[in-house]
Amino acid sequence: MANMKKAGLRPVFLNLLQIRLPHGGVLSIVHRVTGVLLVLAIPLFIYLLQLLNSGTDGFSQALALLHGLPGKIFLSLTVWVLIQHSLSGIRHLMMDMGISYDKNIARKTADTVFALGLLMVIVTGVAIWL
Amino acid sequence: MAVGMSERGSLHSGLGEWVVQRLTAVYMLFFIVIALIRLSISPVSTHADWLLLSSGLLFQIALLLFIFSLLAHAWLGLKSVFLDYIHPWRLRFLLLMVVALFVFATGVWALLIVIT
Repeated sequence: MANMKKAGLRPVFLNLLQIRLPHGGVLSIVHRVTGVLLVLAIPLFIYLLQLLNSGTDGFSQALALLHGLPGKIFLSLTVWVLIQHSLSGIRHLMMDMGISYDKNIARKTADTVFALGLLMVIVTGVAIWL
Repeated sequence: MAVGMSERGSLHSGLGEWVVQRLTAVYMLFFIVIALIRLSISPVSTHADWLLLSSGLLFQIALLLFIFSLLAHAWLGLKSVFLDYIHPWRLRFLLLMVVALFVFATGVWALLIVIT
């Protein structure tokens, strides 16, 4: 195969649509994607902090922003992404401490993180929107 | 002594980053949990509530530490993502410089907000 000669030694197979990652692998990607998304939210939160800290007018402006539709959408998206990132992060910390190295347990903790994330998304969604 | 045998050299910097990434994560989790408990005990609904909370020295230090942890965590996280997926080194360097500028500017901005 031409690909093999180019790469030198081993065959390269990188068809992303056909590679099937283990659940922990999917979670790892999710951790990275949510992490990058959260960076984008940083300036908006610092801006919110600035509003809160700039007197009575600024404070009520910040509250109005948070209670408006765009604010609620932004807040819920950020909270959901943060929950998912935190849960997969806690799982990473657990793995650092040697918990769930075992393949089957790793799969279970990955699934637990997804289930817990979904549950917390529903709870916070209700809290923000109702 | 051969390089890399007992002296860890510049490669050692990765271990420090690994520790910082985890310490900042643990601090941020801790801060968020404490903040949520505090806000559910006494919610901030008026400007007076906010003044009472935000004028405390302990809160200011904890908040600044949170923001700096966040920025350090973001910098290290983006760095590992770029190292893995952006291979042309000029582009990677450029992106890392943009992130460094962003982190620095945001840090100064937050510092000014909290101390003034």
